Amino acid sequence: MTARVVRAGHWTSSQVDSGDGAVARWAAGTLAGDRFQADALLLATLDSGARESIGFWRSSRETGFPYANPRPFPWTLSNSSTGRIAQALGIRGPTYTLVGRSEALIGALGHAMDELETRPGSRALVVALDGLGMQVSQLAAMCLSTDPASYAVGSVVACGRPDAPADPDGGTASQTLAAALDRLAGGKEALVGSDRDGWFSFTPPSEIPTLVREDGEPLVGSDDIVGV
Amino acid sequence: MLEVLRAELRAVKEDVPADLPADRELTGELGVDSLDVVEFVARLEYRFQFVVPDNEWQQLATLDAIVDYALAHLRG
Amino acid sequence: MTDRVVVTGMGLRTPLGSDLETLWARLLSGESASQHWPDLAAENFPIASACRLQDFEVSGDPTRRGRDLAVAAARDALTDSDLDGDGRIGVFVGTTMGESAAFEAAADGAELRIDEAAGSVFAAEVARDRGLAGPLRTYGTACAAGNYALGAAATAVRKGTVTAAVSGGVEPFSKIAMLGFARSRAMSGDLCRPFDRARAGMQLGEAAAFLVLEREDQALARGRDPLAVVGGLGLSGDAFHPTAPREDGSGMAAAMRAGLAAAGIGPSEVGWVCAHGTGTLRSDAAEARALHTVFGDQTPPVASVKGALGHSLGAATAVQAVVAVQALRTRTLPPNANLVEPDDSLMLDVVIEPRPAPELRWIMSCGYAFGGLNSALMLGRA
Repeated sequence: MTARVVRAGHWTSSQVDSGDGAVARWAAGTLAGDRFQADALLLATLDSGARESIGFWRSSRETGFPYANPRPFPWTLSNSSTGRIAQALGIRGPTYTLVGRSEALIGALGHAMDELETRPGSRALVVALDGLGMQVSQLAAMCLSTDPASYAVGSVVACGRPDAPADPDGGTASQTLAAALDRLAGGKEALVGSDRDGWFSFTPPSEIPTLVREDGEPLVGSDDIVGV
Repeated sequence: MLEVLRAELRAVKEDVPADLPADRELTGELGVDSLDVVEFVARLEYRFQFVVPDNEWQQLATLDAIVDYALAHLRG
Repeated sequence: MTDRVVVTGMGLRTPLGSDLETLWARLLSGESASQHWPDLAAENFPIASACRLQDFEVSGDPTRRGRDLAVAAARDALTDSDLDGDGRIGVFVGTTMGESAAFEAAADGAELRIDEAAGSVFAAEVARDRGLAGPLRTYGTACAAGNYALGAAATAVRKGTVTAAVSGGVEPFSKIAMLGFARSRAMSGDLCRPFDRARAGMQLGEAAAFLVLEREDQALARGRDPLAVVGGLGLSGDAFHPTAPREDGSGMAAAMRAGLAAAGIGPSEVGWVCAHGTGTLRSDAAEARALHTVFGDQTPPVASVKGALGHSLGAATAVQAVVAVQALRTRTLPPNANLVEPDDSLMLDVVIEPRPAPELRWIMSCGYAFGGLNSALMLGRA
């Protein structure tokens, strides 16, 4: 089954944890502001909650445990970002949090495809959220649909082992998704995966059926890859 | 004391008005949720260096109640 | 029904036992693992009562405790299923805090190696230890994570993406969670009393539990008797608040309904609900509301294992699955520990002593995570 990429983008921010879910709030606000909408949410992350955990423990040592402020605590859990994004976008369908590097992204893509297959006509939002070191956060997002009438900026499909598979470069889910989206925006195919976790192919718009304008010219929108 | 409490509450929830009534329930009409109250109490515990046991913190329902509690425990 | 997914082996490490017989016997006796811990009191934790494994030390390195628990439980599960490491066996793990002690050490100045601290390390370690070649999936969905891992594993097995799956949850004791829940006023000072009138919050636990899943036809061909059937997973989201559930339980109810639909059964076929039952005033009440919404006046008997074992977060629903499988095999419902005075306003039939259930066919095992991620896993008689 092929899914159409109906909206995508990636962003970085020097917004970092300040003990009140700032990273989650930034991610949710960015996606809501760019009008991402979906019925299911699948988030891949390696370290969501890690900086928050360290920050909470450090500040609790400073105040002394009996006086520790509980505000940062919910944000130490990796799925708090998922919940925050779901809340901002009003997503009440299934929401997933996959932890890891590119295997987490593969897992998220797999679940997204399953959701689309189970619920035809629905949209699945795949999000990757990671820190780059302690000072920067990276967000990448891609909304998938199987609706043939939807406006697409690319397509994604599970595929078999490619002829010339590249070794996973060990990047995070957000680095991997951002790189794939950049290739799509440049009109190139991208392959994501590994033998262990499975493969997905990202195909740019010129190779999938597109809507046409009145003059018969194809309506292709790599400009619609927001934020690239 | 009341001004200190209002300031600490504003640190938890920015949109709390400066003239917040002292006798009204925080989680009632004033739109503060119970998790905000938990955090508010935590800030006060740190600031005044007293501990509110788990079986007492929910009595701290209004700013007046908190003032009374704080004064009683600071004296002790 | 040859594409049914079945359980063929289980392995566990819990505060009430590291083998199934011991855990089951202690659960049936109504025992609770909650106790006072002098090391926590000495460090000035606001609450020093919790459910921890006694005498579990493998590497002796607290920042490796999760991996040690994971490997121990996974080895037992694979041995129990008599499955060697060949083929494409996937590892599906639910967790919340990862190697919490590694983050605590980093806050105190140690170097953080994120790939050895993040939750994904458990699946990687199990695969490395047993030489497993299949996909690695780690679910960070907190109190629902075990269910997510089991549901995903069942789907992968059913589709043939993997030849078998080692699936479950791992949560080493987290001091961060111990402090965070206590200061959030969500924790009981001594016992966790799910559904009790005087319930005062959760108790933190730790655990690891794995179930081996494979297709029924493959299991039978290998001469293995299935322990139980995995009927499917229902999921929903609240999209409401970072921590508090919707009080009307509507999100939980949606997950329950989705679980029933996934299993292809009606509410009347559920013989027991292994509840989320954390013992907090609000969450137990919301869960009761959700149950009535879905089951009406046919609400099945209910019990939570969190009074006995504490809340092991990412491992909780994996432990619940092990308990549910044993309940199906023995046709016995285990009790909800620490219930002194049932909260009648919840109108639930809470199991208070071991109850024979000869007609037991299906169990619904529930986990509702912070952020409103709701899950209901359906387990059926083999």
